[in-house]
Amino acid sequence: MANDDSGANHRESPQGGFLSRYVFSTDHKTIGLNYLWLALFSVFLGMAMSLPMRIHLVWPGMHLPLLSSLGDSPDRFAALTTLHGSLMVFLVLTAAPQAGFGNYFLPLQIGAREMAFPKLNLLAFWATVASLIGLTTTFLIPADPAITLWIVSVAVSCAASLANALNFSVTTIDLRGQGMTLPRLPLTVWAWFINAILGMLIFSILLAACVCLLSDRLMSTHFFPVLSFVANQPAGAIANAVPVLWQRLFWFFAQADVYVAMLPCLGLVTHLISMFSRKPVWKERLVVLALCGVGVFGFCVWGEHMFSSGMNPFSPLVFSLLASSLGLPATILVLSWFGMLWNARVQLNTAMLFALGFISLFLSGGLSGIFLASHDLATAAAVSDDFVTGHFHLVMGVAATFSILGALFFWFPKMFGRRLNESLGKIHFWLTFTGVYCVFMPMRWLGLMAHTNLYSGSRRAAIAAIVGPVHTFITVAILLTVFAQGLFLVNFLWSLVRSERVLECNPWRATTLEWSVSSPPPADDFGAKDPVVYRGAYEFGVPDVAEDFVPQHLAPEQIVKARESGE
Amino acid sequence: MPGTTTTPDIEIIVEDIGGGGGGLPPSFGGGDEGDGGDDGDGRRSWSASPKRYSTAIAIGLVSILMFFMALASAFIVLRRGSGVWITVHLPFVVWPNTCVLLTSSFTLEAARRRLFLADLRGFRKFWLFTTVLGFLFVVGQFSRVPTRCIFSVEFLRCFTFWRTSLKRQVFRVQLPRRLLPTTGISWMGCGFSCWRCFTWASESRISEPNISKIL
Repeated sequence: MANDDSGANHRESPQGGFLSRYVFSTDHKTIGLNYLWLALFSVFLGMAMSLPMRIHLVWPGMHLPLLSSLGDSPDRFAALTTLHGSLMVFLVLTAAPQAGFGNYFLPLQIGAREMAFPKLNLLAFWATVASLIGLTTTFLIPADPAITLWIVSVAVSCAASLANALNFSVTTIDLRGQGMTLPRLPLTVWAWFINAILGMLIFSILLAACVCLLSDRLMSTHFFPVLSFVANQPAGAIANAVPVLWQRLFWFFAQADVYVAMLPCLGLVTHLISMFSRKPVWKERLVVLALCGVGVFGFCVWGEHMFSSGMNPFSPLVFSLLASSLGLPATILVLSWFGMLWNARVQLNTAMLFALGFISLFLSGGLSGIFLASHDLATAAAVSDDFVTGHFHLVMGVAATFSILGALFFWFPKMFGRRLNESLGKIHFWLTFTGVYCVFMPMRWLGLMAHTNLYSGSRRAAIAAIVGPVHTFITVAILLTVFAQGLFLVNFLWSLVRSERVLECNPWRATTLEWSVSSPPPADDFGAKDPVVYRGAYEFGVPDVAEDFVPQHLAPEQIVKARESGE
Repeated sequence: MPGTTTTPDIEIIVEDIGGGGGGLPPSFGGGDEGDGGDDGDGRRSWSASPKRYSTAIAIGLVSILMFFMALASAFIVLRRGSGVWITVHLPFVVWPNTCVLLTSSFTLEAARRRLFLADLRGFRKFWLFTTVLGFLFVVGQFSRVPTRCIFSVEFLRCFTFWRTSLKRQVFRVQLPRRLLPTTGISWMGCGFSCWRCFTWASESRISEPNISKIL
């Protein structure tokens, strides 16, 4: 019936050796896969860095091989924290959902054969690799040059992200296939596009801040005066505005970067829920507007992190209002997800489990953001940053990781022509889901309850007495959760080489264009003939059609033919 | 030989995006519009759409603007908030040189437009103006060491355009809808000049910074 598995797309094997096919190839699929490999390496490296931190926090006297051999010192601990954050933010959360899946599937989903600027794409990837090498090298060298190298690596990463964002924007605007109008775009494409626009706005800011920092370190300028310089000046010589300059520049980027990390995940999860609940996206246009709203509001709330910095006393009111307003697009998204799940014949495969897990984490992590949006509570909680750490790890770190894993389970058959093992995947999901709640919910309790000034006397003493055991519980949960990721690694690597091949183009009965080509897609994506799009991306439950979906590329006369032949 | 026609020195393919002049060759490639055309049998060869360059410049300008806004905001905050702001005094030649730089951007853009209208005479005229202004700029900058970096940017810009225009290249750019510079380099030159004017507009005296006041 209405599923074109004709296999008319002939597979063209790329020419050339290993370097030209996999390392220096400008093919968007190869570059996307390379980004995913990069993100996979970075996430395990970042997780490995978090283990010594937690172990040292709970058992400070323990002899840690990594820290001891490199000089067990506060500098090393600080370096671990910085590198963990840098790797996770720049090379996992920015690379995987946007650069990884986006590079691979954006052209396929819009009917283009390639990204707008393939060579720029390749250059951006290698700049990201250089950034990774620079960031990891900082841990191995003395502190002073390490800081300079870190700044250079972040600047290079910013430049790479800018190039990526430019590529994504231009590809979406100019290279859409025939019939692929804006309302017919899949939500993943919308999310990548809005994310690209946001990225164009914010990565320039961090690049400028890095340029100023480097200028201070290398050319003795004083954009951000060093403490010794400040200390040597007479009282009142340095105005309060100067130390705040770095905060303003950094948080202008960093708060919006949270949404750069989350936007592709929101699009991915909406896409997955629609696919596996077999229902169209509920209020699709409103969801697109909500994604735009997340981008716009996220761009305007940098002051969220500066309530205690001595800003104008009225500014916390404005930023609180804007931050709280983020709840509106988030609510629209959540309602849309629930609207799709309501009365749906949900297919509870691993990809869908991760999508549902994302909803849970997004809700529980996002609700804690409402507390942080209020400057009074934020100030109270800021005495210990456990609450903030728990909040952003849940809503940005783990939730985004769940969406990446869900997308990987969904698109694995298309990328590699094989399936991931569903049983191992489900075990991995439940272990991870349980583990992250055991880690970050107690952490938020610690931040909110254990360090607040609201209690006094014996109650505070009682709470303080159980802080240690809670920290130990969190650390043990982290260890178990990290080791559970080994299951995923085994599943991934084993499936790559041993699992059964997927013979059909569209095993998930999905509607978007990437499922109209063979698995893996041919070198020129769509073969001899470009696809033509006839309808939106979420045509499920269409009446008078044998199957419960109609692909985007299927012509109306083909549907009529299938209906008449009774397929 | 009689009856033969001379081919132009530079082969030009221009896509009219609906605002420029008429009488131009048809559009070059497909793949850029949602409802773009195709051949009779539905096959369409993928080719680089010229429109993507214009789109990339427009979007890239946003990013460049944000970059300079960050630097400008740092400048403003430091100048107003820092108690040890050191006034940087510039030589007077910076102001006429900035005017020369801005003017050369406009003449360069005018030369480019003449080139794509196949008006070689007009192109050569404006190209000559740009070259003269470029040399004037170099002469003005050469005496000041800190500003040689600007000289190198200007030189690079002029050299790149000169070399590109003299080779037999296909220019994949589009005629503008409005009378605004569309080449990225021209925009960057204008942007940099405006930023420099803005950040240095308050300086009025010429003197050396007193380092001893800091230490």
